[in-house]
Amino acid sequence: MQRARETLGQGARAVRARKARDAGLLLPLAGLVLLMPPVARLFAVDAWIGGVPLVVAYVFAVWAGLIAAAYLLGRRLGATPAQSEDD
Amino acid sequence: MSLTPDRLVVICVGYVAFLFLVAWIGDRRAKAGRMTWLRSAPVYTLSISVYCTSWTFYGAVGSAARSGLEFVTIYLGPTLVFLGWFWLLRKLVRLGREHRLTSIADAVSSRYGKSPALAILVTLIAVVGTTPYIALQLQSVALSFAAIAGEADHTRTAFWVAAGMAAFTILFGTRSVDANERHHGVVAAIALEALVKLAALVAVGVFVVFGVMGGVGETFARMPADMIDPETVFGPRWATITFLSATAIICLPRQFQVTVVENLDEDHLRTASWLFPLYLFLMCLFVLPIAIAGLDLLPASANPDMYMLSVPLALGREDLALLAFIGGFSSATSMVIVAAIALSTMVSNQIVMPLALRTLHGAGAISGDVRDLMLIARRISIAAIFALGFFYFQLTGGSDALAAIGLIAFAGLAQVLPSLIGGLYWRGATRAGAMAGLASGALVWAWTLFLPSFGPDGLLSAAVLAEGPFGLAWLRPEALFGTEAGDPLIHALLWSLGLNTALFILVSQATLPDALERVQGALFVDVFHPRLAETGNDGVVRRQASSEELFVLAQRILGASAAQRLFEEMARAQGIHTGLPRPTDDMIARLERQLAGSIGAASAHAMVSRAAGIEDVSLSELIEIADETQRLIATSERLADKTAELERTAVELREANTRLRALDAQKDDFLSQVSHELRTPMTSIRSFSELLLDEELAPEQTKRFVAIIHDESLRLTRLLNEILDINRLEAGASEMVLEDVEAEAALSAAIETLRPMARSAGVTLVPHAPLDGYTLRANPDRLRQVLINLISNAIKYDTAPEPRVEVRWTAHEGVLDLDIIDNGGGVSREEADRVFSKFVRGLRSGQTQGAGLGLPISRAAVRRMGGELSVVFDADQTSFFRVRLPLARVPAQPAPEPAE
Repeated sequence: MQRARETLGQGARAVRARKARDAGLLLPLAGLVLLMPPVARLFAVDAWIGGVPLVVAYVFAVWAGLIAAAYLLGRRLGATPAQSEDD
Repeated sequence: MSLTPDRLVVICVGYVAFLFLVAWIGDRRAKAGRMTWLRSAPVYTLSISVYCTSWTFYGAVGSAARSGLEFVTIYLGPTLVFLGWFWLLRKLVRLGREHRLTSIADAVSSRYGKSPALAILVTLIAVVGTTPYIALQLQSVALSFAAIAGEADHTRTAFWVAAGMAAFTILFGTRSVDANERHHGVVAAIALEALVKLAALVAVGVFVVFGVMGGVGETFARMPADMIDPETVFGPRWATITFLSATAIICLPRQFQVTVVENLDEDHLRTASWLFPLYLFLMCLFVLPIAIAGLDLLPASANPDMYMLSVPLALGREDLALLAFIGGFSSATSMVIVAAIALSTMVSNQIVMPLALRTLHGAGAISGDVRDLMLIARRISIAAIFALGFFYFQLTGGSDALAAIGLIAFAGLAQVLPSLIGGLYWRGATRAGAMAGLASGALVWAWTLFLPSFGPDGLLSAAVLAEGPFGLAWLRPEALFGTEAGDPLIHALLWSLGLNTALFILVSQATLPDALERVQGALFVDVFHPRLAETGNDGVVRRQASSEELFVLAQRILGASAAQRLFEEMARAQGIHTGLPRPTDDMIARLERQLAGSIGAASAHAMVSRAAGIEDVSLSELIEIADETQRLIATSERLADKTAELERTAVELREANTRLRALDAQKDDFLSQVSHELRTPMTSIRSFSELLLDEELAPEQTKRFVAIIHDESLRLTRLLNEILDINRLEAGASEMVLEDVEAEAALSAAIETLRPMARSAGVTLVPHAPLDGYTLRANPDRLRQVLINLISNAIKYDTAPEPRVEVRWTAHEGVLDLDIIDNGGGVSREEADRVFSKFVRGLRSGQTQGAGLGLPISRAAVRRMGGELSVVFDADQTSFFRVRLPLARVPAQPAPEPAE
């Protein structure tokens, strides 16, 4: 029973580690999609938000969001062992 | 305060002096091993921001004023690359560490079987792409100097900046040919410069937005209506430049230098993955507002590239203008310094050294240490790169041609991308493919972008630009095959990278890699594969030995001329007519055999593996740990023996035990080192057996591989025996039988055994004073082993012109001291502490055998016999090994004291 629980815990950890690594690939792709046309073009309209052109606000906001996500991801990737990938 | 040119010069010189100081302190701390803040992730991140040159500092505002939001693409590309660090940069950094890559040229050539031709090609692309970029920095300093101090002589400013930076780079960039090509002082200085430029930009930005315009909304309210056009902002240039800048952060030589070569800890990348994008974000935050202020406040004739200075000046804030000037100066100097270091490493390693060795050899001028030559080559390369940058500036200075050069340089270096990325993820990529892609891409880039960048009638005549060469319209530089893309950059990038990638893939598919290429390819692509990741620096990694290192080693051992002959012969055997042979397994095995002829097989292997660079920080730390453990064990044993002062010793013993327990965990590391040593031959055996299984090989090749496998198995056995031996001795697992041994008989027997070896090495064995009548309390086999080990070491590593080895002895108070003395000077004080540690190999003298266990085994054996083995220093700093053993009997009539 004890052993079974441990194995289960290890499995969950491995899954979490894999998810973190996948997120590491997903993040730059998400950035690419958000910052490139056609998605970015949705925000390329003559509108203003808080005194700033929407395009400018959008680009900088996405940028800041990506940095925050990278910070969180870095912490998660650091918590997972670097080995045992490509397995 | 008025900013006269003189005052500005004083400020610049003062600032540069300050940088010198920081670099000097950084180097000193690194040397002293106190790297606390130098080793930190923020310093690493800041050094990466050498990406932001003066082209960023001044040019971003200029670009924003001209084309609105487009400037951010230069920073979005790197942001995306760093966000994906786990998949690309981490791989590059890991490869950089494991394969000791010194530059991007080294990386590409290493991946494709250490191809010299590829290395030269990449180096040339890097030089052609970077020189104009250096010129651009010189120009920006000259322009900013003029903008702030009134009219000034641009050429003179640029000259002094170039000269000063060359001095700095030579001083701190070439202090030594570091095995890792790391420059701690330089990194410290550019990290500081990164802070200065950020602070300057933010200060000007805050002042403009909140001090002048009165807020963010107010600032954008004064934005010219056509500055940001939502319709065109995400056009083709947006994607193109983002892609290009992403490429640049990977391929620019200076970025490779700071990101990969100067990296001290892979984990720093984790911090840099968000901190570097954050740095770029902050750098960009105030660019638009400053541009708006410039457009709003200054006359239309003002140069937007100088808004960073002219806006504060126009508002009467000379102090801010000065800060901005220093920020721009920082951006320019840090880029120039790092680029020069990166380029000079490439030029000297890949081009100058091979040529110099060949030429100097022809003149018979080469002798002694090749490292001096290396340093000189590097210094001359740095001076030449600066001179090139300066002359380029003079040639084109003041023209607008330079303004676009940043992107043109990016596009040039981007040609390296397909081969590099392809090499990292695709095993099928071959040298021929990389060669074809790189060469074609570079040619197309030069024709469509670089040459036209000098303007009509620059390097290409206006007629060629407009009509194509010889009237061949389909070859028009800016419209190949009639494809006018509207934007020369997009046009050039599509054709050059398109052709580059296509040829890279097609030629790779059409050609077969040779055995070495395949192994290297597998090592690069699968660097994180658990099987390889564990083995790390081993087996096939011996191929990473640089030819230069091995050559130095060979020179030391064989002498300059013999080493030259050997290496030349080996190069010819590989079909290389210029420079050093490639360090293939064959070549290393042959070198090892040759060296073995002089110093014995095991030591030759030890030295070659060390030269091949299987040493890193963790190893030296490990040795320290092992040392301390041994010391502590010795202490606690001694304490246990004492019956007096039981009270105090018990306390000390407890403390020692506590520390031992703490060290126990660290001893696990030592064990892993042992297994690492075992894996080295294992991996070789495995790789070659795989080759044998997979391949239809020529019989002679099969034979050679089998011979290597055989050699490695022998090595493995020897290593295992030694490890078992030392464990037995240290743990005291087996009883050591002590008996009375005639000292004279034991010593003579050992010397007789070694006499043939001494004769073939040309070493004179000085007869020792007879020890008749002295009887030692010892184990005869162990005693013989110890004596043979020490005397044979003395024979092997006596580098004196007329080597002599002798054994002297003295008897006193129940002990006999046997001193094994050679006239080669012995080991240095620094080495004396280390020679008894396990796995220390390849020091110039005081060698150990095999895996580096000879001396530790001897010491453990002597201690088990109740004696001591130590290094003793004479007054003249020469040293020798002394074996002290307890005496069982002395002659009734004491023999006459041996003559000195």
